[in-house]
Amino acid sequence: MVPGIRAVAYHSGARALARSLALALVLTLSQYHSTTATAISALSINLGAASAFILGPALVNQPGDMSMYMYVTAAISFLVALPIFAFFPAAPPTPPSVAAQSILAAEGARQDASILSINATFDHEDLPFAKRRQDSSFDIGLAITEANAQRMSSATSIGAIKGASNALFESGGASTLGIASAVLDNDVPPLAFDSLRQELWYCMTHPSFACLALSGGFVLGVYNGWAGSYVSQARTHACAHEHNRIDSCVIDRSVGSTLSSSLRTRRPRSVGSALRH
Amino acid sequence: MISSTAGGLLFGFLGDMKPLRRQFKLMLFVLLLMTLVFFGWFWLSLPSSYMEEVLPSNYSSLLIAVSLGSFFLFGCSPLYYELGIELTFPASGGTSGMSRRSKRASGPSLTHSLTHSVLVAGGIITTLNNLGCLVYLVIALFVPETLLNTLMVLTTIICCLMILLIVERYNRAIVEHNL
Repeated sequence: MVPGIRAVAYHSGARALARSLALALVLTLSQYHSTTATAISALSINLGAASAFILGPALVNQPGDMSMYMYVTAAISFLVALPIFAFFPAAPPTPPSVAAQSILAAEGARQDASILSINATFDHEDLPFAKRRQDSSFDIGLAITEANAQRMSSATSIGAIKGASNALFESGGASTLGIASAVLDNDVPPLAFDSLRQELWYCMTHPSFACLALSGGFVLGVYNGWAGSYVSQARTHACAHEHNRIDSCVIDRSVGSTLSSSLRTRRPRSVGSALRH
Repeated sequence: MISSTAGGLLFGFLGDMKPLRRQFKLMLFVLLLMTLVFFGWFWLSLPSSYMEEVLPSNYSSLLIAVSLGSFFLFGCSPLYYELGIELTFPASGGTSGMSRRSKRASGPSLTHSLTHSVLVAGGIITTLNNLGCLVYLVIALFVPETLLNTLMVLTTIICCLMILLIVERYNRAIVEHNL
């Protein structure tokens, strides 16, 4: 949650508060650090989920507190999201990186057939959209890192919100949330819907990317479900321990035997997934 | 969770280092292998329906196995996104709607197309991520719970092998760093 809050604070007018932090971020993350930026945005989701482990036990003392906890989480997510809708710029004032600028330059050149300065050319044969780009060339200029930070922090705050909202819609709405975030993150105007479909099709029929996406998506997704089932088992045991004072049902004993005994007793699945967060 | 976040940040940062900048496939493969080692350790430390536990275990050994496993697994996460973006980089070819937007000089609306290029790939991976979670939860309903660790290890092996099928191509890096 913290990076998300920082990003929102930065963009919602409280600039003085977060300026030094944001500046440090800007200086650290130039265009050569796109993987670091991606890591921060992708893992702020985990940070949000980790905060649930602190927030959850603090707020939930008995089973009836569960819905209250849900409301609190929803309120926090909503409050974090609100300034984004209100204040967040639709796009950075300048292209965030050379690659971004080259895309823009290519589009502009395709549109009005104006040739820009030639600094780099593309390998045309490899690219599906190459025919349309044959006359275009790429203008490589200086990337303004302020814009890069804006792009990154937008991704970061969205990630943190997703982390918080994941706590709400964990299993049932998971795929819906994914599709929604794919569409929302793109900030797609209705006019460009054709283009989005085209891009999706291109990505999904790209063999290497399909392999990568399937591999990455499934290993991380299965891990989430798998880890979640253990967390919910631990919670079930903790609850049973606290409320029934069953001394045999403890976690601080050898976990190997606790886990194996918990594996032999089937627990109701719905309770387990509700207790996960 | 904390260790996975730390792992993601560390390997995300490492992925930006010069010698490793174009080695995402190798990095992914090695990281998944390390994940496999630690999850395999975890899997062998617990009994399942078809075998007794092979390795001795206690609380801290299991904790270390899971923490290090998720450390390496989530180290993959930013690399997956970045490699996906690199592979599909030019996928921001616009049609009518986009072109009309981009004709307005260097205004902010121009950059809609680049959010596209970056986030279509990320969106697909995120969707598949959630889909994988959903599939797992559905499978877990029908499979006895003693097989779930095995399922996790099998998924890691399969995904590890799928990494080998990828043909690397750094379309964005070519433009970005003029390589």
